[in-house]
Amino acid sequence: MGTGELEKASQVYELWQQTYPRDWVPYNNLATLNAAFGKYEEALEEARQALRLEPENQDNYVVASFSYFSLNRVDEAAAVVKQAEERKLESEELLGIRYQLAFLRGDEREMDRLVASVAGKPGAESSLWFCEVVAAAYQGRRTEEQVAWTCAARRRSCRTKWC
Amino acid sequence: MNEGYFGDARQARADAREALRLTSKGTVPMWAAQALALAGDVTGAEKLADELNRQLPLDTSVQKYWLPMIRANVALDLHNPDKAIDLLRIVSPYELGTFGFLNPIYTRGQAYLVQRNGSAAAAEFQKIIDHPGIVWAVPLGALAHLQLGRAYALQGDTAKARAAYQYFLRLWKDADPDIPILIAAKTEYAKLQ
Repeated sequence: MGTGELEKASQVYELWQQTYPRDWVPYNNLATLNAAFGKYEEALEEARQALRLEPENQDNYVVASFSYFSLNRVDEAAAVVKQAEERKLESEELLGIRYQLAFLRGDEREMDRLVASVAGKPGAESSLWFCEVVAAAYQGRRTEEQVAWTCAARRRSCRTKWC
Repeated sequence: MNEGYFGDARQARADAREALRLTSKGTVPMWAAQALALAGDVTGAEKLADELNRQLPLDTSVQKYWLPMIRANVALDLHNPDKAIDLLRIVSPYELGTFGFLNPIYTRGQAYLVQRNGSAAAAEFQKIIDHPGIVWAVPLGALAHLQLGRAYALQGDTAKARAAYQYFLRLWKDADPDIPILIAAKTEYAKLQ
């Protein structure tokens, strides 16, 4: 992967799968690569295998739910996220996925609730802050976007809701 | 880069340079080059693209996605949509992938608009609209509706054009009013009435 030769990396992961068929890592990595290539059906298949082999790793829920909503299968993506919640699994990436799902559903109340729920938690807060900034730009609210980026770049606090 | 899409070339250039000043790691140089190309800074975009090509000659995402897309936008700056479309052929197998939020499809759509090929442009922008899970909340998802309206207008389909403009203007009802592409959209929409 160091040279960025992703097709070659795919071949290595396939060989890894054949050699260690019960190892979830190559399935997860292949799911990510297939998503990078825009092959979301294949990504989903690999992600489901990774999840079956290792249901306690949050990354497997991330790549599975991401594959689902990239295929516009939002309800199934949400079901995967719920499974992670039931296992008490959490990560910044999963949080981002939950925000993205809420955005795709037009559920502003859930978006706000998620942001409020991570107030004061540095990693999670910045993860959702990024999502909020992107969502502002989607609606052409660029002043908010610019203020947020500028503050982040200068790493200094200000009093707007975007920082 | 958003500023490039919003039509604010000066801000796009400033943001790209500031991003590069802060870091040249990860995908920052790719996005910065794309922003410069969108802002019409042909020299700056080409310089960054050449540097990426030199540093990452084997990298799949750079060689088969970013460089063709950046150079396609440079071609559009130079009023050469044929070359832009040709450059984007290599990206086609990857265009729905996670490298860059459907940017190549948007660029191809814009090239068709410059060619005044409304139906081909509409097909590209519709592709973006049909994949909300991939484009997610990046502004291209909203701007695709405006561009679809422009494509329909080129085809002479005023009803569909009006509907697409209305959809975009509803999405941007709370947008900052000074964004160049919004000002243009409102002017164009008024002419459709």
